[in-house]
Amino acid sequence: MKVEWLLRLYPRAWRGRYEDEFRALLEQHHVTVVTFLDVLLGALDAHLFPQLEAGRILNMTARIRTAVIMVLWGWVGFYPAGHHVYSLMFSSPFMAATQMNPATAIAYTFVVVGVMVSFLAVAAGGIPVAWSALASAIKGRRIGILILAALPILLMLAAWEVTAWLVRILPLVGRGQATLPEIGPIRLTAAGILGLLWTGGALAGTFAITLVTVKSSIGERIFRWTLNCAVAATLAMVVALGATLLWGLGLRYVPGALRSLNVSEANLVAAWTRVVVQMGLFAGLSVWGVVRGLREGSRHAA
Amino acid sequence: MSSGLSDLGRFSDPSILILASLSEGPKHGYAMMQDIQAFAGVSLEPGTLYGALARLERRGWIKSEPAEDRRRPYSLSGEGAAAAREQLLRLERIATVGLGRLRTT
Repeated sequence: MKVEWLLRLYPRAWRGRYEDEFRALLEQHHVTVVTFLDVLLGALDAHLFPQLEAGRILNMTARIRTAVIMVLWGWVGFYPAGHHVYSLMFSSPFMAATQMNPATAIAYTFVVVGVMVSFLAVAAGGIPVAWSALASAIKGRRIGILILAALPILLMLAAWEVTAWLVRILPLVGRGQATLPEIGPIRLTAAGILGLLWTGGALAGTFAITLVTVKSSIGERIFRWTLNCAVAATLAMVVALGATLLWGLGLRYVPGALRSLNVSEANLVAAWTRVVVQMGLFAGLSVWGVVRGLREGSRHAA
Repeated sequence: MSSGLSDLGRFSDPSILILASLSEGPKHGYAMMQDIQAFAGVSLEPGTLYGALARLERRGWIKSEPAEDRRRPYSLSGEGAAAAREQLLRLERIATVGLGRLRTT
């Protein structure tokens, strides 16, 4: 079994430093399927936790960068769930039920503030990184980076376009151009398509941003600023998560609050649980990233 | 600088094996794999070996020597030798306590 070709998957800096001796070792080693998997995992590890850059032993910056990317992925998973709760403010029955008790009203305010602050912190941290990456890509005429950087915007525009198109045609279905039994499945299919489209778009877009960040030469000062923003975003996510928990439990125990919503309690509990679990998992990922980043930053400072 | 190996995650065990192997003198990658197989019965795979080597080199615990026909030997630095001694003594204490307890049961 040949595994030398897997070396192409390692980062350029790693190959510059280790490729020759690694090849020499592989020529002597009895290669098995385990070796294949091990070399593959080694390539992933070398990208995720780079120990080298530009042939020199570095690199705290790369570790802080990894932490920042973890927070970005955490926020991308957290935000849709948080926004779902946030958007309930536009539903009057929910707002009325929330205002029935001061504790739920305050908890809800914290959800809104947490979600908004997390968004602003991610934007504040992301803009300098994007600016620096684009500037170095234009200067170095790196077309691949520019295409990758444009991908999230193109995907979002495509998703908006498809969403707008579906919204345009669905009311026609409701106005008698299809029989009533068809409307339910059609709306369900449309919702499924939109869900897949936005989820796939968000994943692909975030992956593109990750690649741009990893492949660009961005200074340590910018990543330190971004790490501060990532800390702020993570704190905001944790606050929003705690407030969502309190808000949901509050609604459950405020007399008459759930009844005033006029929806099935089981469905409501299921939806709330799903949102809380999603927020919890992704806020946890962000906390993990921030802890790693701060530990690395303080070690570097020492 | 960290003095332990626990923050190396899945590379902490391979790292102690590498440090133990290099305690004898400089070795290149394949020689280390054979030596570790001989004294510990552990078959390190190349990806894991180089993941651990890069981490140890970054910490300054090992240093690379000039390459000989593409094969680059590594040796322990002074700090690496101290760290290896500390880690091996810790393992020795664990083994002594464990074996002692087994004898009394």
